Amino acid sequence: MLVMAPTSPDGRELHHAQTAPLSLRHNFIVETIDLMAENVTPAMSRTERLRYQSGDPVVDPAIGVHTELVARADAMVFVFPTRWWTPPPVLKAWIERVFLPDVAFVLDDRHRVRPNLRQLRAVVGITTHSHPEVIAGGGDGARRMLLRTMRLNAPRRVRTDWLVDPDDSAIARRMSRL
Amino acid sequence: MRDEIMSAISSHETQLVDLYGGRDLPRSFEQHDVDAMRWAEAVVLTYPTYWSSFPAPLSAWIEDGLDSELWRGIHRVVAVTTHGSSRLVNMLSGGIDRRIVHRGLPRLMAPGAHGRFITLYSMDAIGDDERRRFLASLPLSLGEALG
Repeated sequence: MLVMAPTSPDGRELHHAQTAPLSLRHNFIVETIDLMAENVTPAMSRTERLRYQSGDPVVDPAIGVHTELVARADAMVFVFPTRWWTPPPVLKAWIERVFLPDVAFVLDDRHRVRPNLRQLRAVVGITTHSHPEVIAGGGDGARRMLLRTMRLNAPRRVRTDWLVDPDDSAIARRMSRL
Repeated sequence: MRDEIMSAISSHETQLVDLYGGRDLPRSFEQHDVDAMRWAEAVVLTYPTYWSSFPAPLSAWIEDGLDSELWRGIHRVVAVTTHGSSRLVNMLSGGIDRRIVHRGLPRLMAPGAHGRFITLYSMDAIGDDERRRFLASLPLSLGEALG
């Protein structure tokens, strides 16, 4: 699945999100989620938070659809700008609301996170850096979140890849390797 | 946490910014936040850590403030937060907010600014006693952080 947050005025994410599937289509059926076009609420509601560990956490039906896509995905490609250190809030909110307990991960009897996305083979980020010097100082939180924190939900052998300001040929090369 | 923190810092003049404020959905950065940031010398952030970082609405609030260069007048940032995971897991796969508070934000704040990170790990696994001890420790740790 390809999840995009095309929030930059120059539309670079739109271009990346159109380019990536051209090479992915050889090996994958690509389902695209455009967080802006689908008008995803950019925040977890208080209701969702209270129901998070209730066994019945899905309040918004659109989130339910996305959760099922996440549960089935062999690969996830995230396309978004890194403006400061982290993914854009609309993508962060989507992750918070969709990667649910008993879907993406389970908590063992000692409250430790155990992975539950058994299909997942690859996680990729395609991003642009608005302020590279800011990331040099305060860390690439977007990369760390998607390649490390999210790895807690995935099988140990999941492949990861990260592209910053890539050109079309870099995207083509790396996508065909998945 | 909010109430304990407000009580712990009550010797300072404070303004509370509550992004949810009893509503179901949070609000975004607004004009009175601009005024608050211009008035403030220190910012205390309190939140549960989601995915090793700030919850999305807080991330948005911080970014909007940065876009308007409103952190340039701030001398101290303190985060008070809780995690579900352990300290070890956070060291290996997390700590995004910690690094932003220690190294990222201060470079965009007033000269000589610093950040402090006050945190409680394994929130769900520890007992009530340990949670209470954490809250009781806040006046001292916040006093040091804001000094």
